[in-house]
Amino acid sequence: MFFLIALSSSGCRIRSRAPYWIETHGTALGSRVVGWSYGALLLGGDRHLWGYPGPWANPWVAKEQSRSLRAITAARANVYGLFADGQVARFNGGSWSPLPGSANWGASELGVSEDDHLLVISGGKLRAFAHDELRPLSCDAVPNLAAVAATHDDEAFVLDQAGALYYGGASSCDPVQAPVPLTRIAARGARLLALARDGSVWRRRDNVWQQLPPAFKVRAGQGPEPMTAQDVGVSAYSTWLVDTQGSVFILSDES
Amino acid sequence: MTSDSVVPWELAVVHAWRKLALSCAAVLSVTCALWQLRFRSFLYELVFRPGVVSAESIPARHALMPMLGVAAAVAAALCVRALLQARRGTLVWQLHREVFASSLLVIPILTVPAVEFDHPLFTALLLLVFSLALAWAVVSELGALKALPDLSKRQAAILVGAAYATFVAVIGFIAYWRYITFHSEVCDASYEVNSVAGIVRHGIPTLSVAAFFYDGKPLPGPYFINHVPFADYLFAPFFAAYPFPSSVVWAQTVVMGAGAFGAYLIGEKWLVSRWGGVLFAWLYVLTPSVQGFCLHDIHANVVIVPCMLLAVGFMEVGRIKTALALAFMTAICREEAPVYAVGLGLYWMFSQPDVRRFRSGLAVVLGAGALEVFFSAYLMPHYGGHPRWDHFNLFFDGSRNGLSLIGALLLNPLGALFSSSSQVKLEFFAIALGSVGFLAAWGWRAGFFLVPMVLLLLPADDPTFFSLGVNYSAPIAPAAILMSFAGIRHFWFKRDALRESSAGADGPRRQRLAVASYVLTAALLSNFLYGNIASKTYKLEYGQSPLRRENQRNYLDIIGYVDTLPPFGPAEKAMWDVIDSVPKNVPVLTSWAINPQFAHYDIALSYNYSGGNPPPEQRVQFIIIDKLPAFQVATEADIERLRRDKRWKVHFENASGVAFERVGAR
Repeated sequence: MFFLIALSSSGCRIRSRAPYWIETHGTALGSRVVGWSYGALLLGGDRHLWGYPGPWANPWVAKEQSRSLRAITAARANVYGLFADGQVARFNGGSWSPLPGSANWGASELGVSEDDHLLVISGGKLRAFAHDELRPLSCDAVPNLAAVAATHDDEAFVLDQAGALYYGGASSCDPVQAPVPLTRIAARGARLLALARDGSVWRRRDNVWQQLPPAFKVRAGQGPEPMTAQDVGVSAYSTWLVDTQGSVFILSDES
Repeated sequence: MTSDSVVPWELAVVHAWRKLALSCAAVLSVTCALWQLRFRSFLYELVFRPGVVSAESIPARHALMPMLGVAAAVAAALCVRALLQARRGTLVWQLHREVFASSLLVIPILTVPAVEFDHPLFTALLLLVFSLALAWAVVSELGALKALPDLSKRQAAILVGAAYATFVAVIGFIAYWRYITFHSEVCDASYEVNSVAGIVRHGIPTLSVAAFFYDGKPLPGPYFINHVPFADYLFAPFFAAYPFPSSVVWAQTVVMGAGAFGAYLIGEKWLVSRWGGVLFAWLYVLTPSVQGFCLHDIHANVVIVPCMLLAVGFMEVGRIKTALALAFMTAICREEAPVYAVGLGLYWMFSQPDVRRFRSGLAVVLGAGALEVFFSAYLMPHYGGHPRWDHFNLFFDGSRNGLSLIGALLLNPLGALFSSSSQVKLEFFAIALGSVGFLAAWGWRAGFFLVPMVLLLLPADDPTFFSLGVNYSAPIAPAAILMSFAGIRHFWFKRDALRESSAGADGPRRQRLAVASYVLTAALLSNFLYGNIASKTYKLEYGQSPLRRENQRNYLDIIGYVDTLPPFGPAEKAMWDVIDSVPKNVPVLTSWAINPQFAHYDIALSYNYSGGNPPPEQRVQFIIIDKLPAFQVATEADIERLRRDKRWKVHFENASGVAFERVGAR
């Protein structure tokens, strides 16, 4: 009897094949997460930049601690940050290089494509940075843009204040059907990840939307508790999420 | 009944007060247990933060009130009945049911997540209380039943075989599952699979993943530079029959489980009963640390445990040559194994006034001493290595060697005692000894098995050495198991004469039933909490973060444990497709997560670990990199770099990984 119970209990208690969120190791507290070639970058609760995963026994490592940040964006090894004073700067591994004149842009959000095209939401409009200046793109008809997720060249997904999704670039800006109003987006190539206003997380592949499960957090004495997301990020092989408590999660399965 | 036989109520209260108090306590405990099971989510706060009353818990706390009303009515009825019985002089003074019902209060908190690792000392106390109460109840309820006859050899073989099969099937399955779902780690699944494959191919254990040991030298190199893992020869036949890492994973479980047969021989002899042998075999199988050793990847030193148990068992049944052969196997498992064998030899020398045992023990002690010198002063230095004194921090003077370590223990015993009383060590001892109800405290007859613990565990301070299932914690296992067995024997026989005079011929039988009930309850509860067979959680991963692929719960950032085993999903299946695409036994370099799956290749290096000179990428024909979520190591940059490198071309790629082949390599 014990033999049967033992076998059945170990055999049956295998998690379903559906993807699930795993909380990253270590103690992370942040508000914005972006994916890059080396894992995830987190805009920490201290407004500084943190990276995951670090080396042995160091899950989170401080990437640069000298400037206070409002927003970050990354793709592959390209990282940009928006300082609290409004400057936009490029991250060079250990320090920031401010972009000339960026303090006057009025930037509120940043996006960078895989091929290192920096897009900026400046005064509620989408702009591309090239040759030390901002260049208008085709989404000016959409008022009050709130978020940008660059894909390649100057193309990007953008969100307006109402949570409507558009895809635009140099020549067009088309609405994209989304199942629910969105608040945050992240993209890598054709992969799009979106956070809805109701806290649900959605993934779009091949023009098909799929809702991802909620992140569950475990703490001492508690079973898994569902969490609400506040930001999402994506890198080549990973999907990231920050919950409203600042904890960072990674999706278990990208397939 | 006449009025003359009625006891005055005052005296009835005096006679019945224990029964009344315990009845009330039992009803209150059962009520609270039911209430706690219903509101488990705030139970952790209730017990471990009693000064905190969160707003969310108020409704749950208030829900207890109506239940208490019902409980008060039940308690009152029981008290009235007891008082009436006391008045009539018919009150039965047995209190075991009330005590057992009261002890049920401890059960709900044990089902709460993470309690056992967050509060091991408190958990050990609860385990002790419940086991004692249950044992008393069992004896009181079943003690009058007719004694069971001893088992036949065939019956005993079936029961011990079932214990062994349970261990191999369940633990082997979990170990295999963690391997195929990429939860094995380089340290030390890759090391030991490398070693076993080297034995089959080259005759000696070899190593390639730790290329940093062999700067400028060909790979694979002799493993003796780092360890002396002769125990890996036990796994070699399995690998020769099926030359893949999974065979080594299963082989370790098969070998570790064999300790159950040694435990049976010891129990049959020490308890003079085949029932006793079966009891010991099951206790061994249920020992959480033994189970954990099979899940902390693969290690040569853990094999010492079954070898020792078999050696002790065969010596007990008079098979001296077999026992000596097993003692030799114990002594050669790894470079520190002779220390274990010294404990074994000392036990044989002094446990019985028997010339043959004394001589055997003396031979083992002398032989083990010689082997230790051979391993540490000749074999390892010959290959450029040395014993890893950096594991220890208790030395008498500045020098890091055996004499200084022993000097610290002998010349500064209070310092050694003080260092042993740190919280992490006390918690570890509580977990390790609680699995047989702390009876090891009465097992000093087998105290010689403390030798490895004193020399190899106490001088260390790293929490890794005091984490259940981690191979470094192995030195406590022989003492915990064999001293517990000796403790059982102590209570099995100690008061026979006394009991026979006070309780008739039933005395010893009842005592043994009590001991068996107690240790089995403790073992089952301990297995539920800390083990992996039908247990609360699976202790799946070992090692410091971020080098673990799950992060549900952890103990000291060393043991990662989960409620359910991870799935074998599309990502894992696709990853195996990539692995299977690589030609057999070509020199490979892999990402960290998938290195154990290639460790049977002669040269299987790992990114960001192997190092050495020439650099890993120059030593191999194939590079295999996973695209699994970047939870441990981010691989994207390496893949991008190789895509741009014209010296490499994609051999096979899918959503989970990519295999690069050196251009012109074939």
